[in-house]
Amino acid sequence: MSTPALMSPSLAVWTEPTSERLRASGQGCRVLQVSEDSGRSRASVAMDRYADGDDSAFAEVYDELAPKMLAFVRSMLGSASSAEDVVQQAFLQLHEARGNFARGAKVEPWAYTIARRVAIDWMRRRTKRSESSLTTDDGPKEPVDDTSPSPEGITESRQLNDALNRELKQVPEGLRAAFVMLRLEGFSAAETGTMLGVSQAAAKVRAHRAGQLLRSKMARFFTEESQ
Amino acid sequence: MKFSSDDELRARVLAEVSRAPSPTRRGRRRLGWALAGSAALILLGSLFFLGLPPEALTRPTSYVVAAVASSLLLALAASRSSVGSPAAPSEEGGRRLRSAAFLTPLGLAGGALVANLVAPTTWAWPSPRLSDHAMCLAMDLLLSVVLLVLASLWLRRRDPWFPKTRGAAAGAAAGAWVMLLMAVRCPQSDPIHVLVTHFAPVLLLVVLGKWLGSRAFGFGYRPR
Repeated sequence: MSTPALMSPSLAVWTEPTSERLRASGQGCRVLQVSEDSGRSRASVAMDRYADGDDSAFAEVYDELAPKMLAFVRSMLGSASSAEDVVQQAFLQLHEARGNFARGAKVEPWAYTIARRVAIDWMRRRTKRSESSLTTDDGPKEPVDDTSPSPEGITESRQLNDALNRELKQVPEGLRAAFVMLRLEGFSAAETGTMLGVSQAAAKVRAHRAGQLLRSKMARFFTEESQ
Repeated sequence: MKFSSDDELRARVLAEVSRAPSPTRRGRRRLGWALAGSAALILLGSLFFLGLPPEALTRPTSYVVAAVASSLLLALAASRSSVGSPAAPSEEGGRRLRSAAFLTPLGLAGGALVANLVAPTTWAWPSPRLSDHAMCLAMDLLLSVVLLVLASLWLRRRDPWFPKTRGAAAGAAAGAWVMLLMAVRCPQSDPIHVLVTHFAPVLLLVVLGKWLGSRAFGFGYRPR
């Protein structure tokens, strides 16, 4: 088995099973769609309506943001069930704070930052609560992509996913978040910097360092595998 | 552990949201005005209750504190960009907040001390009665905490980016405005008195505000 490039499309499959699944079902296609008239995303326009008291707009905000947010949080936590819990909390807090949403603002940085804060808090609590925080997933695995040609391929892919999941969880949170947002979620460096509260350049550096760390960790994994 | 489908999660979130109504922009505006009115009433009521000496408004300390406290409020208002303005949160907003939170107390202390030393207006230098100092300290602390609590109701779940810094800035603002109130009516110019009974509460409020900010102004995991 050779060491794959970390930025390869296969990595996106590994990190975004939830969003992939949603895309396949048609829900993910609406994510971050831009409304034609204002240049803002539909989610942002819907959030404006929701903040003004139009309760029916919340479902629209949810449908626009939830798939990507789930994938993002899942890649932070490495667990689908925990990600759902965190995303649920994030949306409830977004609902609670709707009156604070500035008119005309972009909802994505705001919502993702809330989700990230909730996820970080969740990880802190779990670390405090459990001494076995570095063990692998606490729920059943996501189904493996059906395009895998053979049982051996499925096994290898699963092992690779597990290893990447494990190693990504070892990368410091600040670096990991930048890597996930910039390299996997497709946010721009400016957006990533905004969400992390750092400059554009710092966001790039963080993502780069996370990539380097992952690369070295995975190189070790493949060396051990081949022995 | 059971996995829920995306539809189940959606239904769960929508059900929870419909069960717990939250304030809209209009509600937040009303709350803001009510809180600002309450804060003004508390400050003016305290001034009325404590009494205002006739020469109070000519004291240089008052001008210094008023200038710094006003600039602090302006800085807080200018840092709006960190709570989701159309331009998105910016480092600039964070910088303004940091300046407001950490430079204001220093400005207050330095300005008030210099003003008192250059143009002392004291009647007693320093007052031999401990109760005079204790009264100033107690009123400073009590009123600043009340103002900070009012501010935290307004800023609750407001800032996912800089909750601690915003909390510290709110603490500095509350402390600064109470320091202004007390500087207007306090007859003592003794530097030790100014530092211990008027300035120390501002520092304490900055720390308290930072603590409160991390818990109330930002967002976190809250298990149900």
